[in-house]
Amino acid sequence: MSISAQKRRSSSSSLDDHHRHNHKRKKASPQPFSDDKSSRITRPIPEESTLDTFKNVVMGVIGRINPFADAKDQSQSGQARHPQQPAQSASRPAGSKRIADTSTSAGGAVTPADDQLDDVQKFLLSKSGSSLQMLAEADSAKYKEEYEPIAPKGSEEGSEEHPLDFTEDDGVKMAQIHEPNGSISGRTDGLLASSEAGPSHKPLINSIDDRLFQERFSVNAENTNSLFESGQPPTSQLSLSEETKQNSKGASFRPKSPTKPSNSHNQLTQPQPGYDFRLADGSPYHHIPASHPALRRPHRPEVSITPPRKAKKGWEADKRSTSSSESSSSRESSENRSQRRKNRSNMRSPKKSKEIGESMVRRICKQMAAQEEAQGKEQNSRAILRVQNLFSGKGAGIGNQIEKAHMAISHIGINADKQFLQSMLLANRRVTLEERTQPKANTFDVNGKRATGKQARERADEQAKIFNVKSVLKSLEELDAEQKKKDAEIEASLRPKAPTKFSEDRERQIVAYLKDPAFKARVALAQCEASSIRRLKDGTWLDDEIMNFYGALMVERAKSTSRKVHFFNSFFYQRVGETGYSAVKRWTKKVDIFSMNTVIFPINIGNMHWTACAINFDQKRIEYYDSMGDGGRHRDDVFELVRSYLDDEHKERKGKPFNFNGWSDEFNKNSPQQNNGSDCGVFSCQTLEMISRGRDLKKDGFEFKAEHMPYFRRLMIWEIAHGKLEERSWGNPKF
Amino acid sequence: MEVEGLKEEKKLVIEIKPTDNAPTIPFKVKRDTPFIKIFRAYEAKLGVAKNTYRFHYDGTRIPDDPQHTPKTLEMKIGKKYDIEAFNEQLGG
Repeated sequence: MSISAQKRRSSSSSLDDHHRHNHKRKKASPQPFSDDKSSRITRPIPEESTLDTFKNVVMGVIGRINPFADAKDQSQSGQARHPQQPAQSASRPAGSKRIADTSTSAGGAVTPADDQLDDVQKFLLSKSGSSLQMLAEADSAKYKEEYEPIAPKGSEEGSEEHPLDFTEDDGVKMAQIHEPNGSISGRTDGLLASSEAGPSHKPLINSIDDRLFQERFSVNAENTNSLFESGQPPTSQLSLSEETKQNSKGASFRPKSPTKPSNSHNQLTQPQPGYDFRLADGSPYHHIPASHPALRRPHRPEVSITPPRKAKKGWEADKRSTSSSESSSSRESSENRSQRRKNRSNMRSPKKSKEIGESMVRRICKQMAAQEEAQGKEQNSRAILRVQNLFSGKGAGIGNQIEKAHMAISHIGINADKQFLQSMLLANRRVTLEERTQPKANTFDVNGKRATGKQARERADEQAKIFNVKSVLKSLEELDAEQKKKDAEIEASLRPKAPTKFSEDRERQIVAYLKDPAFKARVALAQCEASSIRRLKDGTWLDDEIMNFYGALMVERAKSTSRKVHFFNSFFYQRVGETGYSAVKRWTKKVDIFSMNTVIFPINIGNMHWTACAINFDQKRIEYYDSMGDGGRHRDDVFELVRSYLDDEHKERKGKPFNFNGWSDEFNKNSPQQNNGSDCGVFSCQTLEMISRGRDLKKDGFEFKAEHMPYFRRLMIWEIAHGKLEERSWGNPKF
Repeated sequence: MEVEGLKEEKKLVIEIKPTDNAPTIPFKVKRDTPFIKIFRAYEAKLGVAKNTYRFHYDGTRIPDDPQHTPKTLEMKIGKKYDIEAFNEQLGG
């Protein structure tokens, strides 16, 4: 393609002449469609015939007409006609014979398309670009110069009278004749290139044809060549271009033994006759085909970056979005080893995987076509074959292909899945180097991994919860503690609580009572002096005056109720213990203690400690309460003395011993304990007070604790000073 | 317990019996003599401070008030009555 622009421009003027001449010639020579055979045979209209063949191909691809049927019919007819001149054809070289065949076969069909010739040419030229146009101009110029005078002669007299009498069957000689400087003709496909008899127009058409196939239908030239080389008979799997070529070649090509490679084989080494292109300046023109290795697009290196195979982790994102070949291999990873190896090798060579994809498409299309044909729908089967050819193309846009395929298939009426088509086309897709080398973004998903770790941690925690015995026990303990706490709360809410503080007014009054030196309190022959009331200050011991006075208050209070309470003073136990019943025999001359609900009395132990004792006639109990725990076991003496007293008293008053059936001794049931060495008197007083109210201490428990003692000291001062017990708002029963 | 010769005097005997080792002292008093006079006299005789003893009659405290006389306790002339004198009791 080293032609300078100037040279091409100089030859452009001759193109118009050539066209004009062509038109003139066509008009001059009538071409009836159903003319006699001989006239047609002897009329070589090479440009028309080849153009028509090509046009048929194009139209077939587009889908208006079926190129196969037409071409075949024509070729067959040509073959049938051919034997009319057997001697001549035998002596003629194969090349010329072929030319005749082609021209004759194409001639009949072409006539209606004569008017379209220029249009098609223009269209092709416009399609193939400016450089191609230049080339075409140059070619036509050459044709005009060299072959015009000869061609008409050939057309009139037939191929036998061709001025170039080829007596030898060797293309080399012809090359010597036509290409004296030994230039190699650059024909791409053997078929059209081999038609050396109609040489002048051929370069133009061929070059256009070649490029058109390359660009529009993306003919796989390599495949075609390889198929031809191997001499395999063309199958339905062949691409459309191949088949059309084969058909247009006609029967004349077939006599050549399939084992022997055709002229198309090794085009570069075998000079082609009928090619002698010269540029305007006379230098030979080398037509280099598009399939020439030098013109081919540089192949991308077959780089396959196969990541090391690992067990798929949870955090690894799905790789389906990446290249389809890889995804297919990953899907088949579960299959056997050899299969996997195969896939891997496929993955390494995109070409091979592509071939597999193509073959799959072809197979599917073939099956579909066979089905349609079996049903008697030939049109449909042909359409399917066209679809197949669409798939076998290379480099065309996938989206466009999908649309075409979908339209074609849906036109037939087969339910076509676009996704399936896309997947098939994607399988054909060549993976670019950039895609290969690009790091896969989703192979390591940070969030996914984080989520997995969190999941694992939670699971571990759950397991630990389940299987850790210690934790189970601990939880049980916690539950127990909670239960106890709840129980305590309920109990506290049920049990009335004594207050811990007095109001300020009462506090002031109490302080005044304590400071009064002439303090005197009297109630029912009981008295309390200032010296005694001061013993109710915090941290001091109580004396008998307060104890007895408080007892007198209780009795006074009980008088206003139905409850019968008798109070023995603090010297009762002393007298009984020291002297016996005789000392206290007269103490109850006005009272019948057996008619009482309860008899209460404080007990002074060793002039150091106060305890409380109660004879519960309702519950038949002798109760003894010690806020210090009764370490010296005084309760035994108490219970014994009380029992003897009761017996003696009963004998004295009722004349018979006391019946102790059902009587029991109770000691310190639920009794709170003092937290210092001075509150035992307060404890005793308040215990007796509760009993006097009728509270069942064994059953209901105490209403106060050690922390309430300061309050009770104040309360007792208040009560003694006023000579009346306060209402127990917190108590039950309240009184 | 009747005592001879008291009816003519219109008096009665109050005998104070302490629970400790102190001596028992009888007092010949009129029926309307306050008990406080007897108790002070007893304490004076023993030489102890007042309010040292708690005087009880039949298990009941006789307060240190002038209005409490044998008459209020329905004591009769010509008879002897025992008054118990208890020492102070303390405890803590």
